[in-house]
Amino acid sequence: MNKERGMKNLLAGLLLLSIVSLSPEASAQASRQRKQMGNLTLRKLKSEIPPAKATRKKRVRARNVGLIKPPSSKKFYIYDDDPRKAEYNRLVDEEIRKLYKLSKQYKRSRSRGEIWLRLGERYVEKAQIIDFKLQDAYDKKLKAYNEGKTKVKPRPPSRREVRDYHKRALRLYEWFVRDFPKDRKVPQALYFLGYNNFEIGNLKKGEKYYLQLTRRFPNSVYVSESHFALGEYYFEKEQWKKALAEYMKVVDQRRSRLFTFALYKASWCYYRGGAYKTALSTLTKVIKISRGSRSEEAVEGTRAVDKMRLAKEAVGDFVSFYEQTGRYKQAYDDFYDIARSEKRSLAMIEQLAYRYSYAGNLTAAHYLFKQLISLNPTAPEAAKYQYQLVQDYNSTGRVKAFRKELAVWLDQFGAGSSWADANKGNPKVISENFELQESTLRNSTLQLHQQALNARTDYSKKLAAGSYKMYLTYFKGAKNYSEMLFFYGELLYDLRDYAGAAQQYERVALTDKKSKYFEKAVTNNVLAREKGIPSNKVMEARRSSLSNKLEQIPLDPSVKAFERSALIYLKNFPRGEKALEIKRRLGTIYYAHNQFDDSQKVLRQIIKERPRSKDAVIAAEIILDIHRLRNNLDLYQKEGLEFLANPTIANSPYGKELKVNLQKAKFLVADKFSNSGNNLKAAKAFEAFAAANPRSDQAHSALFNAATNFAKAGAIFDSIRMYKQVIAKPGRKAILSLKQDARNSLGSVYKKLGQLREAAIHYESYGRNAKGPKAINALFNAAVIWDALNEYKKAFQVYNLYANLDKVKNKGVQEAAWAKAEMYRRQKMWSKAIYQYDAFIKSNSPNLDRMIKAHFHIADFYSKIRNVRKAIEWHNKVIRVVNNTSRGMKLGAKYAAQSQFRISRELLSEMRRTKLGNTDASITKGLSNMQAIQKRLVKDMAKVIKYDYGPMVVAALAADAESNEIISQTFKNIPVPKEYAKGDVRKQFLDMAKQQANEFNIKAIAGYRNAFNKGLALKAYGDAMLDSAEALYRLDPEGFKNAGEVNDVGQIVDMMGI
Amino acid sequence: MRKMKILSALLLGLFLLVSCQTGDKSGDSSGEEAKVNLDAEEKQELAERQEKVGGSHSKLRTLYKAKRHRELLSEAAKILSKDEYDLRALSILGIHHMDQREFGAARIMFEKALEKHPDEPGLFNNIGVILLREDNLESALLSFKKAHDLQRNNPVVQANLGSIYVKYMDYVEAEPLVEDSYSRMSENNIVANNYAIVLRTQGQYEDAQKVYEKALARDSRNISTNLNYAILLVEYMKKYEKARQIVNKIEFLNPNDKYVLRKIKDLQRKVAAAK
Repeated sequence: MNKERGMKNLLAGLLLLSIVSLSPEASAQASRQRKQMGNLTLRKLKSEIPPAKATRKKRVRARNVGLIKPPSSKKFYIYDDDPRKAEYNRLVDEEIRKLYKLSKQYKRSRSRGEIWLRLGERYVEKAQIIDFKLQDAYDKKLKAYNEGKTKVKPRPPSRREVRDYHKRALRLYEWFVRDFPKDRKVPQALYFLGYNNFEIGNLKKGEKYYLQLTRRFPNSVYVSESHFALGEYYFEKEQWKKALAEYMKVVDQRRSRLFTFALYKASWCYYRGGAYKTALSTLTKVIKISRGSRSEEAVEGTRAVDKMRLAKEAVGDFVSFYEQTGRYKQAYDDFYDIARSEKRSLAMIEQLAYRYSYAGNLTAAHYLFKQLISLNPTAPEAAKYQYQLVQDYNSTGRVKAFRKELAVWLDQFGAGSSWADANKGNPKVISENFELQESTLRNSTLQLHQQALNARTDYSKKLAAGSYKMYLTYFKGAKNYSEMLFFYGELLYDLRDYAGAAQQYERVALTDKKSKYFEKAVTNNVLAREKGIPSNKVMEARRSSLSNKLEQIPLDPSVKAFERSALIYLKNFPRGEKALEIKRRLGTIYYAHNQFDDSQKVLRQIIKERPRSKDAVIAAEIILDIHRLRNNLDLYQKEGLEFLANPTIANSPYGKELKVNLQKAKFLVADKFSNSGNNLKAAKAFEAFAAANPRSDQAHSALFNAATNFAKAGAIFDSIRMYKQVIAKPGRKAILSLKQDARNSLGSVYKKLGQLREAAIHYESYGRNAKGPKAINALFNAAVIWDALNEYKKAFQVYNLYANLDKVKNKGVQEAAWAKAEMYRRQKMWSKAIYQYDAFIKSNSPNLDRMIKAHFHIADFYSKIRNVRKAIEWHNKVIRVVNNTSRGMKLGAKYAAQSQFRISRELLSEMRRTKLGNTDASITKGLSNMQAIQKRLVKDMAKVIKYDYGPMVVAALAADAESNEIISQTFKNIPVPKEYAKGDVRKQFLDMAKQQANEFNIKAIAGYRNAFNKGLALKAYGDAMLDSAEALYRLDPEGFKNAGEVNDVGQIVDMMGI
Repeated sequence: MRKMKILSALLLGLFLLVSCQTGDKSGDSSGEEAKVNLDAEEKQELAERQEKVGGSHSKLRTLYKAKRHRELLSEAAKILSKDEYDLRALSILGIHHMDQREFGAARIMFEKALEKHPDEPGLFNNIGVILLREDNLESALLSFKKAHDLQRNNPVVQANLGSIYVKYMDYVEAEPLVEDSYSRMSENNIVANNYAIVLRTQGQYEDAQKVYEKALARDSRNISTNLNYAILLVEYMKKYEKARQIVNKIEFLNPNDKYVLRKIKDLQRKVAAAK
């Protein structure tokens, strides 16, 4: 029997152990969830059947014991693999079978009550075994489901059999209370009635039995059990106050078996009611009491409470309660006080840290985790603590803290860290941590990338880029490495760091063909590399800087990179969606770099593969253009015809293009001749092209080119014939400018041929109909020619037209005014010439030479039209303009000399106008006046001489001589004053006058001679010399024997061999 | 030597001046162009084409002398189509324009010819003639001097340059030029007239008289020659009877030059006084 009991205790212990193994200590999180539910770990207590009492034998009605017959126990065995549990179950079944047999055997005996109580107790025990088994099986299935081992979510087990046993027990206890109402074990029976009713869900009925027990038998040991059970009942219903009251009634019984347990439950009621401090102090009390050696009463039919277990539970709950106090910085000391071991204290700290972490109190969690790490930085768990911190900051969006802790995690717990070194014996920990780190950083990076895509700010993009860099630094070789490379590339592309992006794409393309992003990486690599290719403008500039325009240009590193990316694409996806386009791009790049062979090779592939595509058209054009650039027009036409020989190509739009291109080729053949200087061949080819393609858009150009090439070759009349065809050939507006150019060219050609009238007509026509500088120049040329041909009216009109068009610095007005003035000057139309010279002066021409001349001509012409006042005015202007600058002196000294002479010469007229009167006084005054004028004349003529212009030096000397001649004449013709009218005085006066006349005459002759000789010496031929000679011959015919013959000067034209 | 340098500088100035007046502005700005590089085949064909065009200097002379102006222009164009700087064609065109008093056009031709024939004295001479007609004595003198420097024995140039010296009574300069020109152009009355004047200044009245009479035998109506002859007879040879005939003839020719008229009256007065 003892052995049997020992075996039962062992099995019960094992059962409890199996439950404990599923208990919350397994993981802090599971524990937390469980504890929040407020579930108990209390298990059904084993009861003993009380010994039967001797009672009066009386007639009793036999009970239908079939109602309490146990079900077959065979099926329980299948649930249990543990042989010890199976043994226990077998023993319970055996006992039930025996007791049932006894109950049948003694169904009218007085001892039947005792048998019923014991059988009822076994039924309760059996119900618990089944319940445990069902729950155990359910838990296992649930675990498998949660672990993903099965997809079928298990249903909670049916408790029908469990309830069946409870119901059988209820019948036995009801029979007992009814048949033995005054038995000493009625309280026990009432207690189990309450208990079994609770178990089958008859809560009210169960409560009624408990209340009946506490009222009828207040001193019974089962009262405490009942209060506790009621407490449990209210606890389940979360009626914390009511539950607390029931528990406290148990607590009041210090010796109660459930005292500590009730205290424990009371602490939970406080906790759930929000009285955390009371809850914590109560729990502390539970721990301390549980560890004490105080004995408690034993209750029949119940099992002693496992106080050690309870203490352990309480210690576990302590952390939960402690969490609410917020005293995390003192936690270690407080926990050590309770746990009395460092290990346990650290476990509690860990638990508390996690609790704070889950509750979102990151300050406390950070403190505690860091405390744990610092206490043992190389512990395997240390990495998890750091990870938890990283997670916490990540989940709460505290980016900076997250990145900081992440860096700490990677540095201090990553590969190569001292932590990793210390744990190298535990590869599982290392690999798990590595995977965790990798996934965390990867997810975070991808999250940042997503955020960057949403925010579209540079800051967010750079943040993500930094994260990628960190990942790619730490996790080289990770299975997601190439994926991250790809996405890093995507981000850099988004950041417009195309070279950087391409670098990432290319690494994927070269290292991970199996990546699901492989194709995208290869494609995007091409796209990113393409961004680094120099623009057409840049390439044009490069080519234009070459001395040999067709010299190969080496590919830049960026272009080489593009070439590499394109070749990677074409190698991996030769028939890819973008293969054609990439080939075309590659071909055009080679083309731009003058790498013609490579270009043609690639472009020919396009034409071969996709003859109908647009790319094929472009490819064909470039291929032909390369031939053209190489001046290989034979090959151009040959290959062009080959393209057309293929009916598919010929009938395609490309074919039409090609036909046009071949037509162009003929044009280009002519162009080639022209460029090589074979102008006659070029002209003929252009003419032939125009004849063969009269409706072509290029027909006019061909005719024009034929004309220019004929002209260059020297076939001028053919050139004229072609130009005339250009003008005569009808065409669209677009070729109007060509017609105008033809007119201009005709003007030029006719001028070369000496046909000035024709030249002027065509120049004028071009100038009137075309626009631009060339047209303005043509008008000027036309005007000059008309002027040269004495077609003054036409010249005048065209000059006016030109004046209105050439507005660069008022040049048109200046040139036209000058030309018109000169035109009038040549025609001796003095007034009109004055007007135009004046217009020229007012146009503010910068041409000082012309300005001086214009002033002088105006002065001169005013003299010619006898407007002396104006003439003098303008001569003075001439002098001012010339004297104003040294350049003026250099350019206009001769004009200034002439002007000064003209002004000064007026003094001679003044002398001649002098009236002497007929009195001594008036004559004396008149002669004095003449002398004074002569002095002024001499002074003024000195100014003339100062300009050092030969003819005017002569003129000045001649003027001086003339003044003496005037005085001589005056004395010759002097009137005799009244005062000397008679007698000797008259004679004396006339003799004296004659003498004076002779003296001045001698001076005049000497002066004229001097002037004439000076003219000869200086070769200063001019009117002054002639006038001096005439005067000399007049005054001194014997001394100067030139009688004044006339001759025709310089009129003989050299017929030059005609 | 220094004189030559100064002369060259002045000539440069003259050409700048002349170019400005002509004022051609190029309308062609086609930029860099390939040089003409005809191959043998092309040259052959070009020769054939030009042959077909025709054009000859002899025909040009004929047309000029016949004053068939339109045909003259056409013939000159044919020649110029083969060589746009053909000296004879351009010269004839220039002279033709001078005949038409189209001095601007004439100068265009002579200047163009000068571009390729800068040592041709006839061109400078003719430009000098034009400049004198435009009353530009200084430039004309320079042009004649340039012509004379290029060909010192060119009688036309000598005559024109000499005529200027004669007019301005610079007989030292005039004498050799006039004498030389007369030796080869004695039939030219202008040359003869100048030569006679020079002879007169040297006191060779008889020789001068012969020259005048020879000239008048060719052109008895030349007023200048008649007047100068009359002056010689009255002022230097005192042959009043002969002089009277000549003066009467001049009067009969009805000159309108004021100087000539004044001189006639003067001579008439002296002839009458001599009676």
